[in-house]
This record gives sequence, C-alpha cells and structure tokens, in this order.
Amino acid sequence: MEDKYMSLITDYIDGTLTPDRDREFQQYVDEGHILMEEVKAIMELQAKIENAEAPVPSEKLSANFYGMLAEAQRSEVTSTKEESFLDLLNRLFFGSPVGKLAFGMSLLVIGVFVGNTFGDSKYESLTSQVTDMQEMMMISMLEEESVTERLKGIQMSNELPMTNEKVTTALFTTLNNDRSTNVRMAALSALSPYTSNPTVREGLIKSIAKQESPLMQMALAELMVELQEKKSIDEFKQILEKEETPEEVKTTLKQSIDKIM
Amino acid sequence: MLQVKNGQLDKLGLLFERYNKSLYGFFYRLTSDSDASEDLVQNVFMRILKYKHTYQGDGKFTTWMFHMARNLFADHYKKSKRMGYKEDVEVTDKYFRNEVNAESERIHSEEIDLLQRAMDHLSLEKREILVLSKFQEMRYREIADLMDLTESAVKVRIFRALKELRTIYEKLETQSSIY
Repeated sequence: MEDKYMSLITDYIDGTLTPDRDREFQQYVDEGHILMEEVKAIMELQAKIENAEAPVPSEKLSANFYGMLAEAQRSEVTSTKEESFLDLLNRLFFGSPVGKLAFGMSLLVIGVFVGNTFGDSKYESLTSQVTDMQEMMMISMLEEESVTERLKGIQMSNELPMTNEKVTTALFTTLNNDRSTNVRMAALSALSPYTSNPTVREGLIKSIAKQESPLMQMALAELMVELQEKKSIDEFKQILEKEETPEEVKTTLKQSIDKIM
Repeated sequence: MLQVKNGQLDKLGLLFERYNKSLYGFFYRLTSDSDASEDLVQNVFMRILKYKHTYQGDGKFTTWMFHMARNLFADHYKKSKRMGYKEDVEVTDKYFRNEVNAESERIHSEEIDLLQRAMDHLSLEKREILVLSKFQEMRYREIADLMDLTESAVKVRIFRALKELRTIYEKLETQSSIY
C-alpha cells in the first residue's frame, strides 16, 4: 500500500480529514485502493487499545523514588554549603576526566618549567608543596559527609608518604572515630602495610579497645596475630571483659590471643 | 522542571506524581516486565536529576523526558538481550489468579493480555511508536520530534504497526479459541 493511502487512513481513523482530503479518501475507497473492511478492523483494534486498562505500578515505585529524592536533597545541601578553596580545587581538578587531565598537564608543565629554570633545590621545594596540597586535600576529604568521598580520601593517602605525621594522624582519627565501618576498615587497610613504623604500630594497638564493631575487632585481631604483637593482648582483654561483646567475637579473640602467646 | 533545574529538588516530586504512571505504562508495554519497568521509571527520574542542567526549557518537558526514557530502554533492551528471556512471575501469577474471578472479568483481562502478547510479537520499533501514539496518546508532532522523523512518516509507521498488530492479534485470537 502506498504511503499516501496510509496517511489518509490514519487521518480518517482520527477523524481529522479536511473536506478535500475526505473527498480524496472516498475516491480511493471507490477505486478499490483502500479497503473499508481493513480500515474498520484497524479502528476496532484501536478501540481495544484505547479501552485497555493502563498498567499500574506498585507502591514500591513511589517509596523508592522518594527515598532517592531525599538522598539527592541531602547531598545537594552538603554540596552547596560554603565551599572552601580546597573543595573548589578538588572539584575543578578531580570532578571530571578533563579536570584530571588539566591537573596532570599543569603539573607536567610546571615541572618542566621549574626543572629548566631553577634546578634541583627549587624542584624539591615544589614537590613538597604539591605533597602539602595533596595532604590538605586528603584531610579535607576525610571530613566530608559522603562515605564515598571519605573512601576516596583514604585512597589518596596511598600516594602520600606514611612517615608524614599529619597523614597518619588523619587516618587514625578516621580509624577510631568514623561512623562507617567501611571507611574505618579502609583506613585500617591503608595503615596496615606500615606497621614497621613504631608510631603506626602503637596507634593500631591503641585502636583495638576503641573499636566497637565486631568486624573491626576481628580484623585488628587478625593483623595482630600476623604481627605477633604481644602488647595487643591487654587491649583485647579489655574487649573480652565487656559484656556487650558477642560470644563469637570473644571466642575468636581468645584464639587470637593464644596464637600471639 | 525549570524550578527543579534551579535547585528546587522537591518540585521533582510533582513531576513524579504527574508522569510516573505514564512512564511506567510506556516501559510496561515495551517490556511486559513490571519490576524492570519500575526500575526504569526510577532511572528516568535519576537521570532527570543528574542532567537537570541540560534542560533548556524550550521544547516540551515530556519530549525531553521520553527522550531519556527511550535511551534507558535501549540500554535495558541490549542488556536483557544478552541475558536471555526471563519470565515475569507476577504476570503469570496474575493470569492464573484470574481463574477465580468472574467470567466477564476473565474475558476482559484475557483480551488485554492478548493485546499485550500481540504487542510483544511486534518489532521494537513498531511497538515503541504504537505505545507512544496509542497508549501514551502522544501527538504525531511530538513523536516526530522525539524520533527525528516527519509527521507524515510517523503516521505511515503507525499505520504499518497497527496493521501488523491486527494480523498478529487475530492469529493469537484464533489460537486461543482453539485451546
């Protein structure tokens, strides 16, 4: 069937034929190009479609949507809070791939420029400035509302020297105080490769008694067994004495203590 | 929508109330899968939030919204094609539960079911254009904008889809009267 007939039939079914086009339509019917039988069958089908009940979504859809909206509003509120210079830099450079590239490129350009112009000592001072900036960025990320941002902050610490006191202090604050177990666990994994550093080791031992989540207690116990750290035994005993410590945790901790001794 | 764009996120609730059923209908007619359709509706609103800054406010909001809906459905379609066919237990359940209902209701729901089954046999392109024009009652002009076609091309495509749907519907009807 030719396109012009189809367009005419559609308008006929919709009742939008102009008098001219209506005459044209009738002519094609008379000439047998358009079969009225077919047109009627299609009209019937269309009526069925129009009478079909609209499918209705379940209550779940509404609940999920308003949950998502509330979440979006919360993150909007935190993100519109007065932004510090660091936040701005962070968003500018790490918010998009282009920003990251720009950041990388600018570091390269600065590096080459400084290398050529000032020589080694100035280059070192610049490197230390970049490290300082990364350090500040990491610390500010650890203070973010969003768990993802805090996890990113911890990830960033991997690129910084662990001998840096500010970095370790920030990680320990997170390890001992963060609301999210995931973030605390990430801080623990970031710190655990540096147990040869006495400050880190000491900090980890002290952290044992501060942990309330069984997951964290067990992870620390595992680490201490690995390190064969005898000083940790007293800290574990404090947890064992607490009434609220679950029995399973107590059993595991006792086993860990045995392994250390 | 412009209010949402300017940061009044609570106004998205109004848009949701106005369009969630229509979007759900769109996805359900295309997928016959209620869970997937609800997920897709949720995704549309998530995209609206994510891309609110790109809304210019010149075209109709629904055209912009359905543009996102179509893209999301295309992604979903590609994914589900990779994963193979999955039966929707809820639909099957509903079909069997109807046995206890009154006869007339049964016939009515079978008719709708037949229509939906016939729709499932159409090619995706035909199904989509029919859903937009006949179930969503979108104007030819809007569909033309959405699909980047001329208005008369839209009419021709709808007609072809209707014609094919009728053939399939009749075939299914004959089959079900035999059993």
